[in-house]
Amino acid sequence: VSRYGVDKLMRHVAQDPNTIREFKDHPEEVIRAFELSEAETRALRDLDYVALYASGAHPQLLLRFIMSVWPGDRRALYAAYPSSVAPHGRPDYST
Amino acid sequence: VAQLVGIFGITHNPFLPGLIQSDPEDPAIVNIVRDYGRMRERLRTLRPDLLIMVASDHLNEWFNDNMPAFLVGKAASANGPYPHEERERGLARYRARVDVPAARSILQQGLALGVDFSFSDEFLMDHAFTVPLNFLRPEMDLPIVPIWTNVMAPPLPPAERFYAVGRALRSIVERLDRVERVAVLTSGHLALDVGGPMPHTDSADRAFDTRMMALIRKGEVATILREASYDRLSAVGNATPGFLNYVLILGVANGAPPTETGLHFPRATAAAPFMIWDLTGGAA
Repeated sequence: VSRYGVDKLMRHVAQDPNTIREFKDHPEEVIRAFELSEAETRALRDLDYVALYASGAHPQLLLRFIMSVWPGDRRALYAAYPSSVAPHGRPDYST
Repeated sequence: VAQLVGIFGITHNPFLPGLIQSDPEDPAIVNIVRDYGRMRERLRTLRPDLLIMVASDHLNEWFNDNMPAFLVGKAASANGPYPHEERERGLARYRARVDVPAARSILQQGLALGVDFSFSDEFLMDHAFTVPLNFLRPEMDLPIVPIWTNVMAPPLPPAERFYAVGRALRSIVERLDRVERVAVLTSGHLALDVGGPMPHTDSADRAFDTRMMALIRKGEVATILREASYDRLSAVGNATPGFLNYVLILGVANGAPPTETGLHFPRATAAAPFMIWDLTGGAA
């Protein structure tokens, strides 16, 4: 696993509208440049933020990333996020 | 030599500028607006010719490829916030001139006093700097020296180190030449969880907020240092280590209690604390 690589990708993607669009259009191409594990690739591609949280993605980067690429209702995501990750407690997110 | 005239601590909550517009009837927001106005006025009447601002960065400028614990910015100008913060939060821009000779002195004297500051000649400031600066010095006329602390990417320096760096900064300020009146401003947090299990619409732990502000008000440094370990802070919200910036300015105050404090709980976001040390009355 590469928490650093996941954090680096999330930070890269969320930084501007171009990188956000790139990720939304071709997530696997973007992910490929970051040398991540299969599980990490799958979680990022599927926008499985609960799995990313549980595996130690940096919480602040994760929220910024998922809000930036979420295709649905971002308000609903924002409201649902805390209780969705809560069962996983506070995973260590040091890299 | 320079005189330290005042120390200010405030939150940098990026939702506050918007809430002041959208929820002006919230009694806490009313009080925050009043208190920030008083802080702005106090800063003005202290007539500083240099503002040292100590704040954090939210993995915008500094990242885990090269993460400084404490860093002095010595580029000629300091601008912010990040474009994505402007775009998504509608945050106002801030642009300040950096007092580069003062930044160099802080860096050099810090190294001599055992504080191995990193430095940078190129950076943007994120909302941790721009939100408080826009509240307290909207004129953008005061030269600043920005100093970053790592409160985001563990392992962090322990609370004792934040306090010691604050003490060193006090000694450094009082040896600065070419400036006469110096103010220090920091921004930080009380209990706050961002991207964690706590709802984003309230303090992550009001009991923590109230207790820590009471300890600051009394200048109970030993207790604060004991209770501000990384584990204890992050147990009440993953962003709560932002509290360590308040520990640093307690060090700048040599542990003296503030001359004025406030704590408000807006109904839609985390607690908004403030603290002022007016040092012109010989209080500290």
